Amino acid sequence: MKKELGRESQLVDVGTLEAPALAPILAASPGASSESYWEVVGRQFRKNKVAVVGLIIVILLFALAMSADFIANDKPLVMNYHGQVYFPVLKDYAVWLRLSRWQQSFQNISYKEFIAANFKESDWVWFPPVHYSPNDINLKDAIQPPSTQHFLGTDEIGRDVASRLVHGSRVSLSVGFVAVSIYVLIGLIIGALAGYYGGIVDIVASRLIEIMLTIPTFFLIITVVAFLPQSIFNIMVVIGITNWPTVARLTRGEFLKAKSLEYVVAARALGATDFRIIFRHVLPNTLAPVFVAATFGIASAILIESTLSFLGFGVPPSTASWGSILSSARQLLPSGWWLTAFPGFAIFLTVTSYNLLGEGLRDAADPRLKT
Amino acid sequence: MTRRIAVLFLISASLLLGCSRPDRPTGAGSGAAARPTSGDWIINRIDTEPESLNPLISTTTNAQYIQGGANNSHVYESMLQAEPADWVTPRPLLAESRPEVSADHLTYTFTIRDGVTWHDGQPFTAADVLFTFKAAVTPSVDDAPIRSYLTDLLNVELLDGRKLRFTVRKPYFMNEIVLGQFMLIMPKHVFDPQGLLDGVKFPNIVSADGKNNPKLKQFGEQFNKHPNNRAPIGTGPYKFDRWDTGKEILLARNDQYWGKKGYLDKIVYRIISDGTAALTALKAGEVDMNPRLLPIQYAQQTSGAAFENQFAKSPYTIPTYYLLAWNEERPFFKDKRVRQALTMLVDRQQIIETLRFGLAKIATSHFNPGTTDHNTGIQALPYDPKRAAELLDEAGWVDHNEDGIRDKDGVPFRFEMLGSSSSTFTGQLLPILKEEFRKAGIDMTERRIEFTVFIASMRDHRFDAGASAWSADLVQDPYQIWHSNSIANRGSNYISFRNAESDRMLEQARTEFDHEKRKQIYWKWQELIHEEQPYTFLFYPQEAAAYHKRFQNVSWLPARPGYDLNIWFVPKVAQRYTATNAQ
Amino acid sequence: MRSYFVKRLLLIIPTLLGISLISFVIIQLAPGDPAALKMGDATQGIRDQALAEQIVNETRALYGLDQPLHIQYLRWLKRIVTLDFGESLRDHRLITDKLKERIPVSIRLSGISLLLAYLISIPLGIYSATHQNSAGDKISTVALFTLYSLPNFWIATMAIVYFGGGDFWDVFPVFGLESIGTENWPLWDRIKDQVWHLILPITCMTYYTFAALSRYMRASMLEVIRQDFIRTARAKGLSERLVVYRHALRNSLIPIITLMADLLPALIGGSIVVETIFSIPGMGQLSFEAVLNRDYPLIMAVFTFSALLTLIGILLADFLYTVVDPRIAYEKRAGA
Repeated sequence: MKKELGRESQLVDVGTLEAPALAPILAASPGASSESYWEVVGRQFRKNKVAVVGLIIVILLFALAMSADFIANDKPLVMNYHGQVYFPVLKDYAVWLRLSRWQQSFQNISYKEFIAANFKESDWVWFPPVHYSPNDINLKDAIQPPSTQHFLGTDEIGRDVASRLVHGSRVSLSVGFVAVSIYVLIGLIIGALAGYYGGIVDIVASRLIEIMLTIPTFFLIITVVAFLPQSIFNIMVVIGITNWPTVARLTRGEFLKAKSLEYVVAARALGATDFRIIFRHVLPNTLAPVFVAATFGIASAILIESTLSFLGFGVPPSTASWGSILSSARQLLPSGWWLTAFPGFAIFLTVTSYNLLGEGLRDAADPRLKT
Repeated sequence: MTRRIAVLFLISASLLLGCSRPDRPTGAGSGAAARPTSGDWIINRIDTEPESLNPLISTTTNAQYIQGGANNSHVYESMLQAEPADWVTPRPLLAESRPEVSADHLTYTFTIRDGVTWHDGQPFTAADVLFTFKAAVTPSVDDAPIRSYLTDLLNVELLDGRKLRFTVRKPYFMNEIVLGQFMLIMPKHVFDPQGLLDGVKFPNIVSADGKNNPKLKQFGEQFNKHPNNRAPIGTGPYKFDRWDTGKEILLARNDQYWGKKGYLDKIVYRIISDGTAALTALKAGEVDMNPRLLPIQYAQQTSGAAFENQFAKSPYTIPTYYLLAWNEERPFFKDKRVRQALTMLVDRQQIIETLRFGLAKIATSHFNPGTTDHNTGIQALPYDPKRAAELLDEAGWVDHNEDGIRDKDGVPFRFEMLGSSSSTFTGQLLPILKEEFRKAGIDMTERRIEFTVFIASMRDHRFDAGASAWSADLVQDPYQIWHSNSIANRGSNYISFRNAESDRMLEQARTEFDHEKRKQIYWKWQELIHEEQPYTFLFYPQEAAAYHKRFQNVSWLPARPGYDLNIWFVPKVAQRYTATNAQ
Repeated sequence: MRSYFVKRLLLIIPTLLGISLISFVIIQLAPGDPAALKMGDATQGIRDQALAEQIVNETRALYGLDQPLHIQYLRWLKRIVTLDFGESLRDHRLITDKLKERIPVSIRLSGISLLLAYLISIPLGIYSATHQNSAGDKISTVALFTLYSLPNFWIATMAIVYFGGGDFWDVFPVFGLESIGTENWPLWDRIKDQVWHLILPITCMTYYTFAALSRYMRASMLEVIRQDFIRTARAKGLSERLVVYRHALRNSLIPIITLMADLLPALIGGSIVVETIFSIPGMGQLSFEAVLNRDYPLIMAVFTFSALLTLIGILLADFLYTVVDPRIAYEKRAGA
């Protein structure tokens, strides 16, 4: 396979000398140098500073999501008590993995109360920067604006917004990422096949697309929620399997357009396999609208989750998510600006950075922009 | 009020209405009592549109308010209504007097009032009453809930021009109320002009051949979609004027009313679905009354000089309580000590303060404090996690395997709490419970589902625990919710509460016709329930209304919807809408 | 080409059948039962539980739910052929009557909103693409993403609080689509009144759509501008305007056209959130309530109707592909 690729690119290399229209095929295939296509893309991508910033923010967001327990928690990171060092946050993981058990004296305790009651001078403790867990409920402190105690304020039942925002990134990022990945993948494949092959493949795929487009998403969600436990996973899957038709249609449209372009005809004439033409030559050229669909899809998945929370069908109410913070904000309007501003900004940051990343990737993958 | 139903609610701060102290007049006019004068309109906000204004077919609360008002007298009327002094004793309305009851409590003879006319001018007769009951039991009429109250009604006969005799299967203290107050009387000449029901006697409708009678079938089909379901013709103090679908329903004063006439020229029920929009519309002068403020609106958004110059607000209590239901078929909830412990883990006072901004009182029993049946001697269990932990230990729920969750006989204390997805309150309550229980070593998972599915799960006993609310009328029979006979066959004893002593008391109360003696039974029964804690009674909610200050004679009633617009008026000088300037 | 579209038109029938069958099954599979829902929790005065069960069964029979599923479906199919959607289980009104009340409302709302969205987003997208990385492009990018990050239920509520004449500015009405009792107003006043009512809901419905649409437009335009024929056109010395509007625009419309397939159903689909917040009796509310009430005939009518419109929309989009790009052909199979 690898060998074939090399030989083909050589042939094309010659061809392009006369036919500029074949430039894309040259670019989309491994160049004359030993650098692979994706290495080229990577090099191109790194040149785009804005896109790199987007990537860094995305990575930071994911890092935040993964380390949420260490950033916002009511358990101390490290605690020296009676001459012994404890790592309660880590311990939590160990207990969860059934590697360890809680000592009776530390079971379900509030560390803050415990420390206030039992600490002597030689003891010390180090809390995470936000020393509330997302479900630390303090009813007396409900609806507090940002303060030194609660950096981003509290919600309607006195939970710390900063902590919920940090932990909520898990749900919201994975809703966006997983749901969109599911539907972009399905959509790309079905759309590509339908657009490229046409005929009976197109007819069947198009009917499938049509049927899915008309299946009432909301009813599907209600049905799923009624049968299966309320969980973020089910919501991701439902969003994922109901949204692919749009991507499929976009891809199909692009393929219809692209398959008659010169470079495809040329590639076919050169004996490239369908698989290769679809995924190597045409697909990179059809990604532009799909990237937009995906970036907006991520935002829209996060917002669908928030609308579902608003209607009561979202994640369970104690699970923190950006959407659920936003929907609780609505009941407090016109007060409680902090309940909208911060999750709103988080969504904005995610959407924008995904978009910058997406556009950067597209440009890098676009052969014509190569210098 | 048309039906004394206990309705399982979507606990949303929404669907509830009611009253607190009938003795306390509220509003600007309480001091200088102006003389009632007629004129002006009230534009009252409702949140959802009634599906129909046929009292047999409609099931939504808003439909019931427009049809029957607070005391069975608005557009339609019933034969009896509640005596406003105590809201328990029936008093005559379309009947001349309370019925004559036979010594065996099996026949009730009503004499209907003379000289009453329908809004279209036709005379009201006993035949209309007979027609209403016949229609109600016709199988092809879409009135399942009403029909289910009449399963004990064996016969209704016309004795002479104004007398009707009702025969029932068994003696029951609710019979007089079911016959006299559940049923708003509908005009026969409008809904059955062909006399399709005339040829069939009442017992024949109920019997098996009623289903196959083509005339009855035809009647049902016509009745269900009768045009007057959306343009009711009744006998009450207000008559139907106009229904703009999706916008508003207008009633106009019935100047030919046989009894005490209303004052306001028109009553407009304007549909504004969103709570924030409704308050804004009130402040902007587009509605005169918002009977159901959100608690936060009552506490924070309805104050200041600008508001108080124009509007008044008032909380009122309604016969409803919120609860947590523990399914006793589950191992965790079998022991009453566990149930008591769970109640002690819920900081009800703080929940009321924070989530309802003080608009509720801690609940102690099935009966609402607005009724004499409510046992005032019961002290609510305190919020006491320490004592709760001891009780759980005593009951054998100890964390043997040190995973942070209590267990007994190898079963961890892990259960699912169901809530309705439409309720914002549930969305706030569940995390609080989850966290509180977690601290006590109990693992609760939350699950919010559609109300339809919620009821189905509860009814089939497919749940561990559920957060919900019961809403009832002031006179009510707890049998359906608490008797062990109600566990099977769609009964409402979802939690499978079985207690021989409780069953005996409930049965005894059913045939006790003396209200005072019945009250004694119920007071004892409430002590038993308090001890058993089959539910965690959360609180009796209060609603809050905001309304324009020009209205006088504003009072809040213990029955839903909590106010009676038939008696509100506006002094001449303050009137806003007149025949000429009204929109 | 014509025979292709005739074929496609005919294909709509079996597809619609398939969709209706799937919808029918999903609806019936979902837990909850309209008869039990109607019965509710009647909890007083029932002496005999078996009788309550019998009453629920009578109601099921009344709703036609006592038949096996395939019979119910065939019955529905038989009715639908004569365009008879039946009556709603909730209020026994004819479904056609209910739709007649609601569809014009939704068309007015969504029609204007979609028109606006396209009118704003296409030029905006073109501008950002042709001025890529300019200040204008960057500002519009940030603005669009900011808009898109705010859920419309929140924006709508904010608008009501601040512009509805509560404690702040009294600029816009907060409920309904027209003032009460405008039947006798002069035509011009009525129009003004209705426009006034439409501004907030339409803003809330539109900002979200046009944010996404203009990004699609921008991406697609960028894609086209980079293609060789545009370079050639530029090289030939054509003015930038001519290049963009004559040559590039047509080609960049493909994704926008694709999205137009959702346009027709969106016209009557309505928006639950906006309709609920602004108390507008449109299709969104109707369908949401139909689902919550398990009003099977009404749900089926709404589904079938919007499915039909989706199918027509898709067909229309496929046709428009060939208009904007004559190279697109459906007949020849261009396989290898």
